[in-house]
Order: sequence, then structure tokens, then C-alpha cells
Amino acid sequence: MYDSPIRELLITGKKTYTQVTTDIVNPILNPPTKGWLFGFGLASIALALGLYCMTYTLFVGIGSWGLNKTVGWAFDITNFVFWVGIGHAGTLISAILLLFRQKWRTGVNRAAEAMTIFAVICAALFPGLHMGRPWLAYWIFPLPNYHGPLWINFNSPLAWDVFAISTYFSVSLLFWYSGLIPDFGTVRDRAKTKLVKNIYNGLSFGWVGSAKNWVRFEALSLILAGVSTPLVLSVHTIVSMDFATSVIPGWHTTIFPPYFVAGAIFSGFGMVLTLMTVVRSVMKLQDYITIGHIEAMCKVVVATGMMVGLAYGTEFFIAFYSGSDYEMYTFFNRAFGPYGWSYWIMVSCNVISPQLFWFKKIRQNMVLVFIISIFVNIGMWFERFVIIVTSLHRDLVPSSWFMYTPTFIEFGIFIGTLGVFFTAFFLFCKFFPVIAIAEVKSVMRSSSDTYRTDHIKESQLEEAFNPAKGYGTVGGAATAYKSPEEPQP
Amino acid sequence: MQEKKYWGSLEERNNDPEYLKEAKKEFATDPFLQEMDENTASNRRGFLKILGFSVGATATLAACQTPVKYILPYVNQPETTKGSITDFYASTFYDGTEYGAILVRSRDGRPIKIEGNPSSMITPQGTSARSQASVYGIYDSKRLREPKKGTAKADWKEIDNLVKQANASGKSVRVLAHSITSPATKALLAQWKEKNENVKVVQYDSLSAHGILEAHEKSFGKRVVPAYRFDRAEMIVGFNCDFLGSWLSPTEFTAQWSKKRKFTGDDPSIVSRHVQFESNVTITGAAADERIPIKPSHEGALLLKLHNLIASMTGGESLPGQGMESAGNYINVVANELVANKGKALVVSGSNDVNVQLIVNAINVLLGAYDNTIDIGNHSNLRQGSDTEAEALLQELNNGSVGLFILVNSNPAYTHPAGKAWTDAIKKAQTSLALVTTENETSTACQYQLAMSHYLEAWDVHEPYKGSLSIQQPLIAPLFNTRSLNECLMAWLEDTRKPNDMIRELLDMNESAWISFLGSGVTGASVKIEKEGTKAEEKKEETKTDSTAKAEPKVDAVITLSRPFAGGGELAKECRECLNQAANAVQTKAGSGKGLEAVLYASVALGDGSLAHIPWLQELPDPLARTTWDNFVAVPVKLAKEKGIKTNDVLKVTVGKTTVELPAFVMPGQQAETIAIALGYGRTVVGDAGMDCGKNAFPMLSLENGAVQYAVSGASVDKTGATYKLARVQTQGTTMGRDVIRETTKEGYGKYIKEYQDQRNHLLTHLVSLYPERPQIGHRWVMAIDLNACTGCGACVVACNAENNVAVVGRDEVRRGREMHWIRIDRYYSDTTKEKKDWNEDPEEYPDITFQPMLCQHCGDAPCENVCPVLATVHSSEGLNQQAYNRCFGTRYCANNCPYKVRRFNWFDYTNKDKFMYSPTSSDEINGLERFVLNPDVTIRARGVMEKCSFCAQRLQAGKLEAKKAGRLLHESDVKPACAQACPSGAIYFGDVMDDNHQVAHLWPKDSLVTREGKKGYDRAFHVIEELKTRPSIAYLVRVRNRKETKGSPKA
Repeated sequence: MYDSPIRELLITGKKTYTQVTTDIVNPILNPPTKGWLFGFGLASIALALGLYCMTYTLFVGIGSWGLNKTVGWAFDITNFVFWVGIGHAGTLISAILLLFRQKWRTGVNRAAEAMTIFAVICAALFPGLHMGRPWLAYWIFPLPNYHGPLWINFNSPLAWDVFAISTYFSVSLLFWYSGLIPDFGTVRDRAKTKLVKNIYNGLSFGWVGSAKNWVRFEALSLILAGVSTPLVLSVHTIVSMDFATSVIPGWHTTIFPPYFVAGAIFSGFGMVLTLMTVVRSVMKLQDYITIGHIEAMCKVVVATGMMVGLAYGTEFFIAFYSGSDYEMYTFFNRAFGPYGWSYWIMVSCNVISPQLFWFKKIRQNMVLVFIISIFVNIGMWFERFVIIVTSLHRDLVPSSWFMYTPTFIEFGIFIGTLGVFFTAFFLFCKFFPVIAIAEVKSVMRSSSDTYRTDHIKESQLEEAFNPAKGYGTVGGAATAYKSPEEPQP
Repeated sequence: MQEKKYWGSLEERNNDPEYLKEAKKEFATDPFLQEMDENTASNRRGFLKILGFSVGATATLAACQTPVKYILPYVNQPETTKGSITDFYASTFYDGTEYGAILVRSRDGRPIKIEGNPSSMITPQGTSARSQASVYGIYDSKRLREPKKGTAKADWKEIDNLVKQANASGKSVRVLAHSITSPATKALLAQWKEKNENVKVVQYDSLSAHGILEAHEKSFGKRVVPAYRFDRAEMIVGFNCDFLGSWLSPTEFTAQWSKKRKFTGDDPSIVSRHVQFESNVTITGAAADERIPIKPSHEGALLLKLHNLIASMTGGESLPGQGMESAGNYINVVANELVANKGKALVVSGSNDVNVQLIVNAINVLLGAYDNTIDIGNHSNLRQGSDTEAEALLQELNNGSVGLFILVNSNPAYTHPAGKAWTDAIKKAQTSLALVTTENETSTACQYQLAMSHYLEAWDVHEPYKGSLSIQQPLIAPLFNTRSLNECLMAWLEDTRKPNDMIRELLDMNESAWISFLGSGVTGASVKIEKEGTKAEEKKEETKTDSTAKAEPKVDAVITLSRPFAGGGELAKECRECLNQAANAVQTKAGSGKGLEAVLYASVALGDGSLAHIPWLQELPDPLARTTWDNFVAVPVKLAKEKGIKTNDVLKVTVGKTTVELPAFVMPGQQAETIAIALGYGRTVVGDAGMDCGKNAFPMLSLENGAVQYAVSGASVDKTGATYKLARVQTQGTTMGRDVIRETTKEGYGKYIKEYQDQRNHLLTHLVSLYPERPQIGHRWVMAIDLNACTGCGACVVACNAENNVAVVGRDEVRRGREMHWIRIDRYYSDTTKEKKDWNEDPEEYPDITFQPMLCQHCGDAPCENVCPVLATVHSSEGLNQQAYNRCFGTRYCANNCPYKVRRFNWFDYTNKDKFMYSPTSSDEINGLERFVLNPDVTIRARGVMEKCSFCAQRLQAGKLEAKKAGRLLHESDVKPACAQACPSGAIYFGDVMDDNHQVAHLWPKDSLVTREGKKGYDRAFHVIEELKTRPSIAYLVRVRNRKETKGSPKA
């Protein structure tokens, strides 16, 4: 690879190819660490609480939530849109950045894609769970039935939602999994027991690393990237239509599709930042997920955060400009009504806090980045809450205005989805390669002279002073000279 | 294609002509029918025709000619009856506080719904909320099911013997009952008195009219409550008199009042003038043109001033004293207007103070009201009770001189100011019996509790007004071992006749008169009924359409009040003296009226609390506070500001010697120096639903000159620091400057309508709909609601509950905003003095108040319909927005997207008795009795589905079938949703907008639905939030207040 003197290294720590493999595969094969066990335990508790609250809801009814005649959706759809939004970064990183040849994506794309999958799973819980009769949820699918013309209503944005989300989920899952195939092969090759070998062999569909394999793999990646790129835009556009096609002031807005997409990318990157700052330090992946990665993502957050801010401003302007009393009041009420606090949380978290990322020092301070990313997550959750609850609770006919107060069960379910998400994410970290091994190797500097000399020297030194180390210089160097397209042992 | 042909038989093969004849028929011929075909030249259709006719004829003939002697519920259903066919029987609701001539709908031999009896001249339309709810009482599982001695079972014979012994030994017998309107009961009691002269009947009314009775005795020498005729008055002035809500006979008065309030033309001049002086806010005050807040203690002095002003203008004799000025000098204005309307004016006061009523009588005499608007000749029997006699009885009981005390469906231990003293006193009687339907605070103190039949289980006849009879027919044999009062009296008098024979003999009616009486339910019915079967409505409709064949229907064509008027009298000679005394007394009272005063009022839903066990009524929101399940202290805005009181703050209220802690409700319109508390709450011995509902305010009542006073001075309120969340169904009072309701003044009517129409035309031309226009074939159901006539009484809400099996969800669920009512009555405080665009959430201190019934608008282009992912809510070809419960899986998007927020979600399984013990929809194996009140035509909705108003689709269907069977076009009266039927003011018009014979078609806005394009629209009609292009099937008629200024009334 061309060795630019200006470009920062995408992988630091002067890794050899072997080291990359070892760094990523060893945690999979070794017993879990205490940190992992602690995190997993915590996530499982949240999951258990969530399961309890979900079961309670299923048995008792939606009445166990705080909804009422006026506010028919609140936490449920807030969480749904929140999770769908989070699910945007993964595909954006893996698909759009792949098409744009943004090589830095390789360090974070695997984890981000995984996050997408888990977030969409969390999101998909809600449309089912929030139904009055969830056991009939399959009616949403256009299944052939014996009721004659009784089918679904293709005019309903809820039906579009189902298609959008399920398409997005399938394509994302496919993309993510297909990317995992060569790495599963690597894990299999490193596995020591027969059982593990067989499992990973199965998961890798018998990957052998032949040129044919690689050609097909590359082609598939490109095709899937092409397919998922429009999906990044379409999913949240359609989710936004759940609101935009209604007649409720504050929902009935044409700005929603771009606004929601920008918000989704914003929230997705917020969540990626949260996870990456943690993962890189807990799993000691600073060399793969570098400060450079974090900074790049911070910049995306600033950009999308300002788009979201622009949308907020536009909404207010249009409400004023429309001359519609209902619109004007809805937005007045958002900011200064009884739920005004949630509006200001949203604005300060989404518009103000990302502005700190203009400062390089802040972008490079992992603690601050983590905190701001949490703010972004909170802000984006509140954005959905504000849109849903403040629009509904004081809508057109004032006699029906009513306040909404969430119940324990609703909090429990939300925490439960966090549990689902993190449990799945921890399992992923433990059993799947967190970094796309093959792809990372493609962006390592392996061909420039400086690299070679630096590296060999160091390796030789290493061998000289640490003969106990399992793999020698020659092997390392030899690996380093191999073409990155070839599979690594 | 098969080329081979297979034959079924040789005949087929041979193309046998016999065979070919048969082969064309769809079904093989039954040998029996074949025989019939041949012999009678009849066929299957003919057979069905004959069957249909004979069933119909049998039913009609059976109803016509066989006097019903026994009515028993079916164990095995006879073949001749059809389970799904609804029958109506005429009956009467009278519970001591109000009267209503009713039709009771019976299905499978059980009464399930109360409807207004349009044959009645007294209550010609609708019912009250309470009479609607009364049918629930028959299926109340906490009913007294058998006579009891203490808690043990007793025997009727034992009780009969007790009474007979008492009779024989000449013991003093005291019967305490609410006003007795039944001539039959009176006759039996008279017989008893003949037998035993120590028998004395004391009539005691929980909502007393003692003041009116005494005042009329003094003024005219007749101790009666006269018949007030609001329908004949052009100018009505009320003083603390909630005649539309709870005073004397609200259903009747609402019908009368509304006659001159609603109009269907372009000329608002018909609208009468109604000025209301009042302390607490009532629906009457809200309905009035002007509402002037006064202190209750000032009422007499204000009336005195009014009297003297009128006297000086009409040349009458003034009374001593100056009286008192009202706010904004309004008494002078009112006096001028009253005199201008002399002979068409009516002044009424709800006061129970004899002195006040004396002055009211004097004013009405000056105004000539007794010849035109007040009828002493055909006086009312609805209130005959005497507070002094009740007090005397209490003394007598305390003395221990009563041998046998009989309590009849009355509850003085709860409703009398002396309260608990009654239970102690009753225990001193040698023997005490209580004849009650459900145990109450007083009956439990009696030695024996006799299970009384529900009024729908017993024969009786009522004479609500002199000369007007009203039958009380049983709909079902007593469910339990119960007896009516008449049956008890007959048993004690050893009268072995059947109760109905006794009544008929008493009334001395021949067969045809009796049958006709049973059919129409009332004497002197506005419509003659030839046959029994009480399809009174239909009969009337036919006569109506005959006589007004071409003319546009008018409101008056529907109600023909030809009620006789006998007139009144001159003030008695000696009355001058008592009037002078009264004038002095009211002056003194006004002088002493300083500080905070408490008004204790009967609420629209619960009245005196006798029906507090009926969950429909507990969950019926208070029309003004929009609270359910509890009473509250209505705190005026000014006082609330001074003391920092907010709604839901628990206040310690001290009135006289009574102190209660009640949550506050800051009530705009409440006079600044008064508080108000509803009576009827805080029952302690009552069915489950009435337990722990509010606090009892009856002990706060005071006795003044022997009369119970419903306004008491010397009240105080203090914050306790605690809060109690009232279960409110509406939390926002103002319209926020939105055109949700529209109102104008009589003066500004033309201008307003023009402006509105200009605005609307602009709207219709500039806003386009994305939906294609659809042609309309067949019926198109629409509703028009006259905001001028809607009083907010809530009868429609309870009627809807009963008709559509709406679940009762209980206090906690209402607090969470989950009441299930399909129709609600929004109450708006209109800020007339503020700029329209002002988003003011807080109403003024004394705002105008308007009610708006809100139900599914059945939008032509319904926002709910396109968002349902599974097509569970769809549009019918007749314009109905239909909800398919089976298909709904509960995404609630439709409810979110409903601009009117009328969709209701089944948050829980409302059939779960453990959680929703009060709901008639819920049942368990033991106490499932309540479920018998459910309407079998309407599904009980499952958990997790959306529901809403269906325009009573089941009634529409029945009406269509009725018309189809009769082979005629559908009449407007064939299809009345429960709310329209129940409305006592007839504010709800319903019908087919495509049919010009339907009145509603002429009350419809121009260009509102595609179907009416090009038709002349009614300019007064408007849709709510029309700019959304939902094209609703409900139009509201602009409220027109009969006043000059557009600003509000003068404020105190």
C-alpha cells in the first residue's frame, strides 16, 4: 500500500499480520475476562427485568403502561424510533463508506454493523409489543388467508414500516454475516478443540480462502453495499412517515424524512462512539480503533447534529410561517408547555453538546467523547419523545388534552431493550471477531520502506530479547510480505 | 373439457320432463312441502310469509287483547317468541327526586334499556341520566334479595303478622316515604288509615321543596308545588335554581326550556331570554344567556329589590325595604325586561326558604305568571314532603312513642341534616320495618329490612301532575323474594286482588281505555295509540308525515305539547302581612350574609345519592368539573388565588358543626365568597360502586324555620397540605382560541353567520383534499347537534353506556385518562373578553360556559381509516366509520390520528371481575347478575381492541329492517341512536342527509359532503376543525346567546 507521509496510520502499534490475528482471535478462544463477565452480567440483569416487564405487558395488557385516550403512543414508539435510528450508523459505515472508499471504516465497521443488527432487533420488539393483541401480530404481513379480500392496508405507514424494517434487517444481517465469513475461517484455523473448530467451520460455510472465495466475497460485499445504501435513507424516511402522514400538528410535516435520516445517522454515530470508546479500552483495541477513528466519527456527529439543529429551527419557522394556529401552538407547547423540559434536554444534548467537538482536544479526550456521546444518545431519545408525546398530548381539540406519565413497566421495557442490546453485544464481542480481521489487514501499511525497516528491526529485537514468544521474526516478516488478499494462517 | 357425459339417473338420460322440472330447483322438494305446494298452491316463500305473518300477528294480537297478568322470565323459550326481537313497554321512573315517562326495551323477557316516552306530554322527549341508569338497579347483585331480620332471613308472613298485630292493637304506626305520587298507594294508605286511625304517613323529600309548598300555602292557600311551564315563558329568570339539572323535574323542564332555545331557521328571534343568578355553577347557569354570580344569602334581598322595581313599574304594591343591588346593576335590567315580557315571564328560585319563595310568588303574581307560565290548577305532585313533619317524626321516634315505624325507600339517616340521630331514634321504635331495594344507612337501623321490588318489577300508577296519569308496568317478574309497597299494603289490608287489577279498578278504566293506557303509558297522550305494542314513536311519525307532507319538518312537529293549562290564583288576602315579614326577614338575612357561604347542591349524576351504587352514574363526569367518582369543594377562582389553593389540594371544610376533608376544584364561575359541595356522595351503606366515593355533605345542611337550607353561611376552608387526585376526564377548560365551538349573540347573529360563511367559503375554495370524491348512493347517516339546546346533562352518555355495553373502568383508570365513554360532553369556558388568538389556559373568574357533545364524527375522509395497517376501521357505503373489533390488533394509530380524540382503547380486559368489579361488562360466576343489563345486540369488546361510537349501528340496522318489512321508505324516527333518543332537550338530530324528509338534511352545512353539493345549506351549521378536510358526519349548530353585548355577563 502506498505510504503517505501525511496520512495518519489507520492501524497503530506497528502490528504484524500475525499480531492482528492474535489480538482479535485470542479473546474469542480464551476464557472470558472479568470485565466481560461483569458487563455481561449487568446486561443480563437488564434483560431479565425487560423480559419480566414484557411478559407482564403481554399478560395484563397495554393498560400496564401510562398511555391514555389522548396519548396512544409514548415510550413504545419513542424506543422503537430510537433503536431504529441507532441501527443506522452500522450500515452507513459499512455500505456508504465502503462505496466512498473510506478506508478508516475497517476498524469500526464490524462492531457498528453488529450494533445495527442488535438495535434493529430491539426496535422490532416494540411494534409487536405495543399492540393490543400481539398474538395477532402476523396479520401485519400480507399473508394469503381464507377471508377473501381481507388483507393489509397498503395505505398505512405502519404497513410500510414492516417492509422497510424487515428489508433493512435482512440486508444488514446478510451484509454483516457475509463480512464475518473469512474471519470465521480465521477463527476456525486458530481453534484448538474440535468442537470449536467445527462450530466456526460451520459458521464460515467452509471458507478456504481461495482466490475464488475472495473474488466472490468481494463481489458480494459490493453488491450488498449497493443494496443497503438506499436502505439507509429509506428506513428512517419510512419511519418518519408514521408521523408525517398523520393529521396531528407536530407530526404532519414534510421535513420529517430528511430530518429523521439526519437524526438517525446522528444517533447511530452517537451510539457507535459510546460503544467504541468503551470497547477499545476494555478490549485493548486502541491500535485498531484509533483516535483517528474516534475523531472522524466526532466530525460526523457535529455535522449531523447541526443538520438536526437546522431541522428544529426550520420546524419552528414553518410553524410560525404557516399561519396555522394549531401548528404554532404545538411548537410553542413543545418548548414552553408542560413537557418543555424534555424539549430543552433534546436541544442541549443534540444541538449544543456536539458543538464541543469543534475542539480537537475534546475530540481526542476519550472520557469527554464518551460523555458527549451519551448526551447524544439521551438527546436523540428525547427527540422522539418530544415529537411523539408533546404533539399528541395537546392536539387539536383542547378538551382531550391530557398528560402522560410513564409507568415502571415502561421503564422496565426500555431498560430491557438496553439489556437485549448489550447482552447481544457482549456475546458478539466474546464469540465473534470484533474487528474485521481481513479488512483491517488490507489497510495496514505493509509495503512502504519505512514500515518494512521499522518493523523488521523491531521484530528482530523482539526475537532477540524475547525468545520465549511463540512466533518468530521470520514468520512475522514472512507474513508481512504476503499479499493482503491471501488468507492468513 | 369433459366430453363424456355422466347421468345421475335414467330419467336424466331420457330427458324425462318430470325430471327436468325438478332439476331446475335448487333444493330437493320436501314431500311435505310438495304436498303443500300442490294442495295450497303455496311454496317455500309463501310458507315463510305465512310464518312471518302469523308470528307477527300472534305477537301483535297477543299484545293487543290478552291482558298481561303474569310476566315470567322464560326458562324454556316458547316457540312463538323470537329471542332477537326487541319489545318496548311503557313505564314510569320516579324515585322521589325526579319523574320520567319511559319506554323500557325488553329483550328475551328482560329489561335492558330505558328510553324516553314520546307519548308523554310531561316528559315528551328523552330521559335524565339517572332514569337511564336506573335499569341497572334491577340487576344489582347487592340488592336486598329477601326480607331480613337483622342479618338473618325473615319471612313475609312473619312481617305481615307483625303489621296486623300492630293494627289490631291500635299502636301508632308511622310511615316515612318520599313524596307519594301514586294514587294507588295513596288509596291503600287511606284504607289503612280507616282501619287504624293511628296510622300516619310522613312524606319527606331528600331534595326538599318545603319552601315552595309552604309559600304557596301562604300565598294561595294551596300547599302545592305548581307546574312551572318554561315552554310558555319568553323571559326566564332563575335564582339559584338548577331547573335543567336537578330541580324538581329536570327532564320535563329541559324539554320545555329547549322548545324556545333551539331553532332551525335563519331567524334567532324565537330564542327566549334566560337570566340566571346563582352562586355555584350549574348547567342551568351555563345554558343561560346571562349568568350573574350572587351570594346565596343575598338572594332574598335581590328578589325583594326586583319585586319592588317591578311593582313600581306595574303599579303593584311595594314591599318594605330597599333590597339589594346585584352586580352591574343587573337587577334593574332584568326588572325592565320582565315587565316588558309581562305575561310571558317566569321567575323561579331554588331556595327552600319560605320567605324567599313568598317574594318569588309575589313577583310572579305581578308579572301575571300565574295565568300563563305557572299552573297551580294542574299542580305538581312530585314534591309534597314537609321538613317540619319529618322533624316532628324524629322527635316522636326519640320519645319512643312510635309502635311501628315503616321506612319506604327513603334514607333520612343519610339525607337529613340530623343524620345519625335517625338511626338512634329508629331504634327506639317498638318495631321498625324498612322497605328498601338495597340496604341503606337508615334501613340497617331497622329491625326488619323488607326487600322491595325494583320499579321495573312492580305495578303502580303515578300522577306526577294533577290529572296526568302515568303507568308503571313491570317488565319482569320479581327476580327475588321481593314485594312492592302496594303489594305490602295490600297484604296488610288483606286485599287479595292482583296489583294490576287493583290499579285498574281504582282508575275505573274499561278494557280499551286500559289497553290504550298501557300502550302509551300515559293518559292524555300526545298521540293516540290504537294498538298496544307501544311502537308509539312510529305511530307518531306516521301521523306527522301525513299532516306535514310537503312542508319542511320543524322541531315543533315532533313534539306536540298540548298539555292543558289550568292557571293559578290571586294572592290570598292575609298574605300581605306574611310578605312584609318575609321582606324584613330576607333583608336581615342579607345583612348577616358576610364571610364564606357554602352551597350544597344535588349533582346531575347522583341527585340525592339514592342511585350511588350504579357505576354508570359514578363514572358520569360532573358536567362542570368533569370529575368522576368523587365530590369536591368548588372553590372560586379569587379565593383559590388568595389562599393558594389548587385543584386536587385537600381542604378542611367546616360548615356549621360539620367538618370534612375534600379535594378542591377551582371552579371558574363560582361566586367569589362561596364554596359548593355536591350532595349524594359519601354513602356508607351502599352497593360496592358507591363505597368510598367522596364525602357526605348532607350533615352540612341547616334547618331554618323548619325548612332544610341548601345554602349555609359561616363556612371556612383551610388547606391541609395533602393532595387527592380527582378523576377528571377533561383537564383543559378553554378553547385556546380555536373554533372548536362557535357562539354568537342574538343581536350579532346575522353578522356572525356572514363572517363565518365568508371564512368557510375561503377555506373550502383554498384547501384541497387529496381524496377523490365518491358518489353517494343510498343512505348517508349524519347528525346535527344544536349547541343552543345542549345542557350538558349527561343523559346521552349514560344512554350510550347502556346501549353499547360500554365498560366502566373505575376511578384509577379515569385518573389515567382511560374512560371508555363513546360520547362525552366537553365543557368549554369561553374567554369572551380576550383576544381570540390568546393561548390562555386559565379561564376568567366568571367565564361563559358552553357544552359540546363530542363523539365519533364519522368523517367522510377519516384520518383513522388510512392509518390502520390491517383495515380494522373502514368506511361503510352509508357513511359510517366502522370499527371491526375482530380485525383490530390494537396499534392505536387510529386513536392518535383522530383529531377529535373519540376513539377508546381496551387497555385491559374489562370483563375481568377482579379488576373491574363495577363494570357491567365484567362478571364472575357468583355475581354475574349485572351482565344481564348488557345489550345482546352489541359485542363486548376484547382486550387490546379499539372501540368508538358506531352511530348505534345495531339500531340503524333494526330501523332499516323495520322499514323494509313495512315496505316503506325509512322514516327519521326509525333510526334514533341512543344518545339522540335520550336527549331531554332534543338537541341531537339524526337521519339520512340524502333524504329531504329527514330534518337533519335541512340542518346541514352547504357543500359539506359531496352528496349535498348544490343543495341549499344551513348557514348556522358548522363542523369542528373543518379545515382538516375530514368531512365529518356531525354538524353543530352555532350557539346563540340572547344578549346584546358580545362580552360576558356583568361580574360580581
